[in-house]
Amino acid sequence: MGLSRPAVDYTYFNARVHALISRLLPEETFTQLNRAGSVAEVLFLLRGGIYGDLAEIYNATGDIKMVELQLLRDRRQVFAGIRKHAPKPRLPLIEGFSALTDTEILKHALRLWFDQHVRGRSISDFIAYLPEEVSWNGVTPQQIANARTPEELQELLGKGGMESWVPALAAEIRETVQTRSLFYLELAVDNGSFALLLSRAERLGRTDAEVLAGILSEQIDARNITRCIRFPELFSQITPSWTSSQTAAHIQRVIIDGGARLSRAAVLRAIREGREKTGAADSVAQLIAASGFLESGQLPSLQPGAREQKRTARIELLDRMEHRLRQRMLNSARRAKSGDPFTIGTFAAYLILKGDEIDRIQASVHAAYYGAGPAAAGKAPASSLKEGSRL
Amino acid sequence: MILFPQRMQRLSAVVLHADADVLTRKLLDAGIMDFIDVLENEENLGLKSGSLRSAGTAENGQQSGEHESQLSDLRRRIEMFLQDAGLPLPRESSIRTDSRSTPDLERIGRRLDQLAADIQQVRDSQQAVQQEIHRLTELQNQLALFGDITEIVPAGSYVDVQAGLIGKSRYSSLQSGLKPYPAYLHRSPELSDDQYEYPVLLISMSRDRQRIDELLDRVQWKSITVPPEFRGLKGEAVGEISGRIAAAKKRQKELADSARNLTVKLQPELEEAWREIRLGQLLRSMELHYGTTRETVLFSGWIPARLRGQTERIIRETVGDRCALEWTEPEKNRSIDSSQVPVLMEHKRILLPFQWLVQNYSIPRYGSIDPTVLVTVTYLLMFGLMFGDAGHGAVLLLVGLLLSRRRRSAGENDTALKLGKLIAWCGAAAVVTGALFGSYFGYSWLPPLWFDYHGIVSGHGGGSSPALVSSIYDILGITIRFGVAVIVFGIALNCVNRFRRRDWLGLVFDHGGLLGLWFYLGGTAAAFQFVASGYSSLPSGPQLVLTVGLPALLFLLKAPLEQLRHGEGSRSIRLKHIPSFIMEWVVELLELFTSYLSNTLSFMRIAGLGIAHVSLMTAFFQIAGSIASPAASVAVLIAGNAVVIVLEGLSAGIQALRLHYYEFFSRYFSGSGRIYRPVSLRRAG
Repeated sequence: MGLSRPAVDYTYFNARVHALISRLLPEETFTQLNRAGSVAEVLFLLRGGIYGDLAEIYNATGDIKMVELQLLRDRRQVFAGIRKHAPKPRLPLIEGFSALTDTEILKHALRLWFDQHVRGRSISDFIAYLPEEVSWNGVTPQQIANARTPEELQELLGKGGMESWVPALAAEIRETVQTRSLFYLELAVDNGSFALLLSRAERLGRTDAEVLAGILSEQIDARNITRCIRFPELFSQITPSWTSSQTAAHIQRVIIDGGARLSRAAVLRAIREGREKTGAADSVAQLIAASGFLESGQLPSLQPGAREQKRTARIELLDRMEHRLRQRMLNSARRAKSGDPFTIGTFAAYLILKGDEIDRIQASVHAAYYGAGPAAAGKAPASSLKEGSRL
Repeated sequence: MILFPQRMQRLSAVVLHADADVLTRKLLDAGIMDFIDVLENEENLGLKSGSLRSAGTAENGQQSGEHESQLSDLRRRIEMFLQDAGLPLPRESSIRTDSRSTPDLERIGRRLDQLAADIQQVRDSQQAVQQEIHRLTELQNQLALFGDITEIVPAGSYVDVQAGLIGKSRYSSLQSGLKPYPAYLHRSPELSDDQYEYPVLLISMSRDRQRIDELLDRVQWKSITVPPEFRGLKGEAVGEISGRIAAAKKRQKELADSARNLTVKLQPELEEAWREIRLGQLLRSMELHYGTTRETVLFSGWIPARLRGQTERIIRETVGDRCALEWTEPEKNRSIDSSQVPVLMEHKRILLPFQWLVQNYSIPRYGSIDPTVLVTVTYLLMFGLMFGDAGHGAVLLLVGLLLSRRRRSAGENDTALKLGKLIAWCGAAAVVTGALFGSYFGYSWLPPLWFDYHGIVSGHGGGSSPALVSSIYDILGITIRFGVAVIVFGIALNCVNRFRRRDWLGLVFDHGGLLGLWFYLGGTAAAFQFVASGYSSLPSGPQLVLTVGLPALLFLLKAPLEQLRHGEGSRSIRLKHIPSFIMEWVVELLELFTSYLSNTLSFMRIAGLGIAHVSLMTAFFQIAGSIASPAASVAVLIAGNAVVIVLEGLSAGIQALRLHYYEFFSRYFSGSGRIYRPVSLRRAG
């Protein structure tokens, strides 16, 4: 009796991944990091391990952004290290995850382009922190940030292959310049990158696709919900005069598909049902409240008038939510890690745990540098929640 | 031969408060006392519970905790500064216990904060230089795309090239205005008296065009076409930018050095502060074990018995007759749990790798056998038999010596150093057994002193003593006999341990007790006789009854005797107990038989590994022999030897360890002891 295909594919690969998981920094290290009083102390505590080069970089350059760049490289290195052990049929998915990480670099390059081209700011002090080794079909992030015109930017993104997965790219670039807002272009990149990853996951087979959908849907829910809370005008601008197709097109732009609790269909249904009664924004608020992410009564109104009044409450809520969502994400990773050993779940869990590790290091470095204090360092940023983050 | 851990004695002493501090420092200096917490052991020490107070009482407990945490934080920070600057940490042995100064924690904290702020200031300057390097590098990369400098910008480049005229007095304004941007500015040499404007070439990033244009307007720049003298400037421009990058990098290096020098300059002060803090921590750690009354301090701890005289002398010299000392010998005081007595395994340094192997299993309990010396002999014997090649052994010996030489400075506790020594020992053992088997890198360059392992495995006989060892079965027989000897030795050691603990029931009825030994020897003798008869006849009935049956029957007494001694509820035997006694007896016998059989057969792996070693070499010889090219053939042999050394070396090492842990130690080893750790300054820094 031979082994099944997943067993053959994953036996060695997941053993390697488990070995990598066992090398993640222990909680005790983070307790020490959170107590460190300066960047030098934080980096000193990381000496002798895989993050040992951070201290050398900081001592040689005095530049905290160079440390961040190295952390970004460490994030990318995760894929380089794992790729050579990956079973061939699973490679496209691993490349998908890797591409998701590189999406952050793309968004950063777009932000720089936007700053210099639309806002007229100098980006000379920031462009060096785009990693030189990244490119998409030969198009580098530096080229994107340096594009002289929107047309040139569109051409570069087209050459880099983004037109195939970022929805309505040309229109989004045009709108970015017209409205002087990068928001929708970033959303489009996010939507596209998740859609790409989900489509690759579907090709893996039923078990893998289910495991992955479970993990990704948490991730997508987290992004959608925090976006709704951060930017309530996304829904308050929907008025009864909007047609159904207008509303659907808008929701398609602002909600990443694939979430378990806040899917596009669920949001559309809530808006349709609540249109006559409470308005679109509050319908979405109720949907979020019902999603189980928040306790009832915690969510401030998504109506624009309430925004300023409840700004503090909103920030506090986001803070609590980020913590809770991070825990959910880590729990889903732990579940996947201890679940079926012959699925992609172990690898996805490792990516989440590793990403969280790097996030926490970055938070500690920031807290020490900007003097936010140990308490702030102790709260790792919920990377999934920030616009422009990765799995 | 040291077969037992060093004898220990417990000292309990009462001294006056006024003498406690000096005496604590003296004891720290001597570094011989493994303190026990007096308050937690009041009853063990024969004191009335609650009669003593802690040195850190409840009222000042919190304050004391904060003080300790402050000490620990400051020490960590000092160590960080020193190590970050590549400076060694001070050694604890450099601490002077007669120093009366107490660390001024606030002052030390302020100095460290100041140092951190000074270093941060340098880092900020470094950051500015780093950004300059980034800007220049970006420009250099852009210029590299040019064939030569003209207004025509090559594809993929994001720079603007422009020429213009600018007044003499405004040139420096233009220069300083361009500083935040990646830009290259070149002007003609000095102007003649009748010229008032420099022709200037400016290369900048297109993205900065708007801001640079505003700057050019301010300095009244007049655009012109690029003059011919500026063409062909690429080499000069690239050279100049490279020079500026090199200068910035040099400045960066100087700044990094100056940050380091800030710490270097403070090194003596930091080291002194470290010593003060460390001394404070050590004294505090000792005092926390003390108990106090209004007038006196009581402390207690374990000391090797041979140091009793020295300890008494130190105390008497320090406090004179103002003390009361009480010595307790654990051997004479049955109320002391032997697991609470620390264990000092004191062996020659040369045996440290084997002590390491023993400690990895467990720390022997005080009073039981410390098997380090025995393991040295048996481990090397097992390894040698599995890895019997003098050439391969010599390679291991060399590797082991090199590794231990490289790690010598890391201190005796360094794992790599211990591993290096172990590898060297194993290599030496393999050289000896290799000579016995006449095997040198698989070749028989010298005749075997015992038998020809290669010859037997390849079917060509056993060399000069074929009558003794002539087949693989003979080799298997040797290893089984070796296993029997090891197991018997293990049972004997267990009997010694039980005897010393006065565990008479265990001495007789334990699996590894006298009855077990009787049963095992009888069974083994019967098995050997059966094999010697060509598997045709068992020993006679009376012999079997006497050697195997009788000890087996006597095991029936074990359960009733245990019931009488340790029985729950009542210690009498009732009728209802009998079926369970019989059941226990049957299970016990089955377990005894299967465990002894499997343990003995387990030693056949020694022959298995040895045969595998020879077979692998034979295979590589055959592969090399079938290759026509002599060079390739030699390469295969070298690679083959390397593979065998690594693979078999690892296997033999692990299997020898396994045989010790599972077949040898399990017979007699009483673990769960605790290691002797005196508070001392003599540890490596």
